[in-house]
Amino acid sequence: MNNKPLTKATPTELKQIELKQTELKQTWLRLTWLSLKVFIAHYRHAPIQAGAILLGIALAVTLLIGVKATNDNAVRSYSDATELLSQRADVLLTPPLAQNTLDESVYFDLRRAGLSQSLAVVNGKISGKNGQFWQLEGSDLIAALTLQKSRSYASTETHSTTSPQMNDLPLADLLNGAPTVIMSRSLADKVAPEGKLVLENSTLDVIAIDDNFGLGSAILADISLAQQLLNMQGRLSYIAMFSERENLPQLKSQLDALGITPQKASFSQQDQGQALIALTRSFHLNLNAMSMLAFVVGLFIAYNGVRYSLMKRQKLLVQLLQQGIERRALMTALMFELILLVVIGSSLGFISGLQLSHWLQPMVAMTLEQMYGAHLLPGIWQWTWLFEAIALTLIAALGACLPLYLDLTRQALAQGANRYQQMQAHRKTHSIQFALACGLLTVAALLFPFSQSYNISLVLLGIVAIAIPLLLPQLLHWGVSALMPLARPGLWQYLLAETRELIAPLSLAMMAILLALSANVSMNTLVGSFEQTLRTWLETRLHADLYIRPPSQRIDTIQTQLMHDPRVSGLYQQWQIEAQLSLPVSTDNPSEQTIPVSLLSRDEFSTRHTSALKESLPTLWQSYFNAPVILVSEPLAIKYQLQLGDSVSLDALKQTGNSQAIIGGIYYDHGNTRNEVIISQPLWQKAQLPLLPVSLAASFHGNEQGSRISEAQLDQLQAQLATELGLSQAEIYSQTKIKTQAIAMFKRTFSITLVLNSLTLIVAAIGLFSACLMLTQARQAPLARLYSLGVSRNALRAMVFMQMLIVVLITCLLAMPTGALLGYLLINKITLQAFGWTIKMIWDWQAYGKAILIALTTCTLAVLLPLYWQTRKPLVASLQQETL
Amino acid sequence: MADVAKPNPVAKLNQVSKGFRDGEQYHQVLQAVNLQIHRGETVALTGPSGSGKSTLLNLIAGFETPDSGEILLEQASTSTWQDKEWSRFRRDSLGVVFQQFNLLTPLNVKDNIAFSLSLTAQPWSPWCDYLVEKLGLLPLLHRPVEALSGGQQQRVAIARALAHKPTLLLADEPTGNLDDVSGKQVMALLCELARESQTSILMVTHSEECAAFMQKRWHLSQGAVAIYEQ
Ligand SMILES: Nc1ncnc2c1ncn2[C@@H]1O[C@H](COP(=O)(O)OP(=O)(O)OP(=O)(O)O)[C@@H](O)[C@H]1O
Ligand SMILES: [Mg+2]
Repeated sequence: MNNKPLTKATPTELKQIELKQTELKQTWLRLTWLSLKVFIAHYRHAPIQAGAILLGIALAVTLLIGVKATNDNAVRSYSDATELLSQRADVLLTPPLAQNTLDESVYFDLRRAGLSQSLAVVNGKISGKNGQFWQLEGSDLIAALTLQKSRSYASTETHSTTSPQMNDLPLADLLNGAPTVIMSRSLADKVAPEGKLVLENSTLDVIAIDDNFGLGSAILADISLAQQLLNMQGRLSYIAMFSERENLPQLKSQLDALGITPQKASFSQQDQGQALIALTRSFHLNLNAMSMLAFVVGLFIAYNGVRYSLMKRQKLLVQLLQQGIERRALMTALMFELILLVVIGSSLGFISGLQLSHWLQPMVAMTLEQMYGAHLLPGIWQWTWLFEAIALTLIAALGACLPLYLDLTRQALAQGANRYQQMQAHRKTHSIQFALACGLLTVAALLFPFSQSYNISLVLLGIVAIAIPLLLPQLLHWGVSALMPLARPGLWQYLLAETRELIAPLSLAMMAILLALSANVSMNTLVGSFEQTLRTWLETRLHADLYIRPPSQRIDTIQTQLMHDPRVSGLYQQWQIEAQLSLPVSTDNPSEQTIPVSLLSRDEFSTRHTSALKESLPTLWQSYFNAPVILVSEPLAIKYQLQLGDSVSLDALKQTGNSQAIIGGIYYDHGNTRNEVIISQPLWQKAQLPLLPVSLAASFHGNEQGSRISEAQLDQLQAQLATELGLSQAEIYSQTKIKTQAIAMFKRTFSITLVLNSLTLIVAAIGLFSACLMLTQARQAPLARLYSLGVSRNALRAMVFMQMLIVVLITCLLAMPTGALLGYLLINKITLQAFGWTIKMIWDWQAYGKAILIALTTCTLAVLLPLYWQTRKPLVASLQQETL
Repeated sequence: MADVAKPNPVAKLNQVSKGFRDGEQYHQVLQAVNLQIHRGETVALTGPSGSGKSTLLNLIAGFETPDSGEILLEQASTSTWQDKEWSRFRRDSLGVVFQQFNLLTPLNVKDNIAFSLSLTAQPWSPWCDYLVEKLGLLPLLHRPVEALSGGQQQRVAIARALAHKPTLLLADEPTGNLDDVSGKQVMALLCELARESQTSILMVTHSEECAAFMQKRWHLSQGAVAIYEQ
C-alpha cells in the first residue's frame, strides 16, 4: 500500500496528537478539537487554500458592506438630515400659487402671534467664482438656536451619534451681519482652504463646522446676508414650522385666524424625507441588487476554495476516520473551520468595505444630488453591519458547503469507486435545475403581460436572473455532447469526454460568471442606450444658440434689449410656475389625487418644433393654441397612467373659469424626474399667470443671409453679450455647453452604476480565475496519466485550454441573449416604470466583447499557470495527486 | 554469448543513482546501478517493499529524473531528452502498467484500450480483440472504468499497455489484484507478447510463481541490484 503522507508535516503532528489522545478522556469535543488542529496544520502547509477561501469571503463582504454603508448613509441622510433644522419641519408655508417667494411679513405675523416654533428660510442657487453653482441656505439663526435646543430633547433617539451644538459658533459675528457663511469642514477644506469664498462677486469669510451638523454641500448664512446675496430682500423661500401631528388642525385654524390665507402662503405637510426615500428607492434597489450579485459571485470564490481544500484533504479525512475519529466530530470540526474562516474573512471584508464606501459615497452623493436634489451626510458605520455580514455569509457558506461536507463524511472508508455514482447524481441535479429554470421562465413569460407596475417588473427581472443560470449546466452538457460525434478517437475524444465531467465541478462558478457577465452587458447596454437617446433628444430640444436665465428682476430689460438687437434672428421665451394637477375621481382613483407639477409655457415656435413628442392627438396643433389642451411630460404620464385625451384639472387655470384641461400630447423628458406640464401662451395669459418669462433663448444671424452662426463667432458673441447685459458666466449658456454639461451630468449620474458594474466583473474574473486554477490543479493526476502515455506537454496545454475554452465560450454565448433580455427588461420595464423615460435599446457589442475578452484572458492564465507549475516537479508526484 | 546474440539493449542504465530528501533527511534509494534489458528479454524485478522497485521503473519511463548516471533508451541517451522526445518514446515504444492502474476515468473500457493506439494513429487490430478476449474484458468493453473492480481495472490497464505492442513494457505488480487463474493468464499473455513481437518486459512482482515466468530476475536491495539468470 502506498502509505505516503498527504500533508508533509502531518505524521509528526498526528503522532503528537495521538499521544495527547491517550492522556485525555475520549470525548467528542476533544475529537473535534483534534481534527481542527490537524486541519490548521493542513492550512499551515497550504496557505494558498486558506487564502482563496478568505479572499472570496472578503471580496463578497467588501462589496456588500461597501454598498450597504453607502445606501444606509444616503437613506439616513434623507430622513435624518439635520441639514438645517428646516428640513425636519412638520409643516411648510410655501409661496402662494404662481409666485416664487413669499413675503417676510408672514413670518413676522407668526412670531408676533407667539408661534415661535417656526423658522424663516431663504434658499437659492448662487454662482461662485468659476461659474460654479452653490446652494445657499439662509435662516433666522436665533430662531434656529432656540428651536435646536427645544427640539434636541424631543428627538434624542434620532441623534444617538454625537449631536454637535450650535453654541460653538461665533454667533456675535454672524448676527451683526458680518459677511460670514458656514459650511461643513470637509467642503470648506476643499473649496475654501484659506477661509475665504467668493460668491456673487463679494468675498465672504468661511466658518467650517463639524461634518456631523449635516450641512452636506450646502452653504449656510444668516437670513439677512442670504437675502442680500440672493437678491431677495424682504422675501422668503418658505417658513418651516414645528408641531406635533395631532396639533395640525389647530395650527391650521390659528393660521386662518392670523389671516395667512392661501393667497399669502400655501400650507403643506412634510413627510420627513419619506418622499425622497420613495423617489430614490429604485436607485438604491439597483445598487443593492448589484452588491448582492457581487456578494454571490464572491461567495462562489470561497465555495471553490472550500471545495478544493476538501478535495486536497480527502485522504487525510479518511485517515482520521480510520483512526477512530467520529464522523460527527469531523463534521463539527469542518463547520468550526468554516465559521473561523467566515469570521476572519468577513472582518477583513468589513474593513475594506468601509473603505470602498468611503470611495463610493462622493459618487453616490453626486448622483443623488443630480437626480433628486438630495444632500448626503458624511459617512457613518455601525458594528451591526459586521454581524449582519458575518451572519449572512455564514448562512450562505453553510448552505453551499453542507452538501460537500455530507458527501465527504458519508464517503466509504474503503477508498471507494463511488465517483461514478456521484457523476450520475450530478447529471440528475443538472436536469432538475434545467426543468426548474424552464418552469421559472414559463412563469416569467406568463407574468410578462401583467408587468405594468414597477414591482412586478422587478420580480420578473429577478426570476429571469435566477432562471437563466440554472439552464447553464444542462446546456453545457448538451453542447459538449453535440460535439462528441465530431471528435476523432484519441485525444479529441478524451478532451470532450473529460469536459463533460468537468461541468459538474465548474457549473456553480460558471453560473455566477454568466450572471455577472449578463449583468455587466445589460447595464452597459442600458447606460449606452440612455446616453444615445439623451443625445438625440437634446438635439431636438435645443434649437437656439444661446440660453439665458437672468435674475428675475432683470429679465424684462434683458428681453427688451435682445428684442431690439439686430444680431438676433430669433428670441424664445419660457415661463414657469409651480402648480398642482388633480386627477379626476375614477374607479382606480377613488379619492382625488393632487400632484405637484412644474407648469411651463413656451413661445409657439419652441413648442411646435422642440417638444420631442412621444404621442399626440391628431388635432393637437389645431386645438392647442385656442382650447384648454395641455402637454404632459412622459414621466408624469407614466407615473400616473395618464393617456391622451384624459381630462385633468390644474389649479393654475382657475382664473380662466374652468380648471379642466385635455391631455393633447405626451413629450419625452429624459433625465428629468420632475413632473412637468406645458400649456400654450394664450392659455397662460388667460389664466393671468406671471407675464415675465424665467428664461430666454436666442438665435443669431450668421455671416451670410439665412445661415447659422459659427461656433467661434458664437463664443465671441456670448462673451460680448455677457458684458453688455451684465450677466455672469452662470447665467448665459451656449447650446454646445448645455449639451456637454448635460452629457457630463449624465455620466456622473451613472458613474456609481458603472463602477459597481466593473467591480462585479472584476470579482467574477477573480472567481473564474480561482475556479479554473483549482480545477486544473485538481486534475494533475489525470493529466499526468495522459503524459505518461506519451501525450506531449504542449498537446496537454492545448487540450486543457480547449476544454476551458469550450465551457467559457458556451457560457459567453448564453450571456448574450441573457444580457439582451436583462437589458430589455431594465430599459423597457424598470427604467421606464421607475423614471418614465422611454429609451431606445442599442446593443453594446463593445461591452459584450470586452466581457468575453476578460473571461478568456482570465481562464487562459488560470489554465496555464498550474500547468507551468506542474512541469517543474516530477511526473510521479503529479500521478499521486488527489483528484476531484 | 547471450549478449552477442542480442546486441541492442532496449534500455540501459549506466551508474544511475537516485535518492529522496524528506525534510532534513536524505536517503539513497538506488546507488550507481548498472543494468540493461534487451529486445524480447523478460525480467522479473523483486525486492523488499521500499527497496526502490517502483522508483527504478519510474526512472526508465522518465517519470523521475536520476540524480546522476545515464539512462539509454533504444540506444539513445535520455539525458538531453526534452518533452518532445520523451513523449514520442512513450507513445511509440513504451507500455506501462502502474501499481495504481491510472486509467483514464472519462473514457469507457474500450476507449481506454484504444487510447494508446489512437495516439499513434493505429486502428483497432485483431490483436486487440485477442487481448480483450484473453483478459476476459469482452463483457466490460462499454462500461465506464470507474465502475469496475480493482482486478477488472488492472486487466484493462494491462490491455491498454499491450494494445500498441510496445517495445518495452514496464509493469508494477500487474497481477497484484488478480486471482491465481487470471494471474497465470496474464503472465502467459505477457510471455506470448514477448515471444511474438520481441517486446522486452520489466515486471515488478512479489510472487515467486510470476517471477518464474520471466527469463531473468533482478533483485533489488539496499540500493544495489543482483542479477540472476533463470
Ligand atoms: N517522491 C518521493 N519522495 C520521497 N521519497 C520517495 C518518493 N518516492 C519514493 N520514495 C522513497 O523511496 C523508497 C523507494 O520507494 P519505491 O516506491 O520505489 O519502493 P518499492 O520498492 O516500489 O516498494 P513497494 O514494493 O512497496 O511498492 C521508499 O523509501 C520511498 O519512501
Ligand atoms: Mg512500488
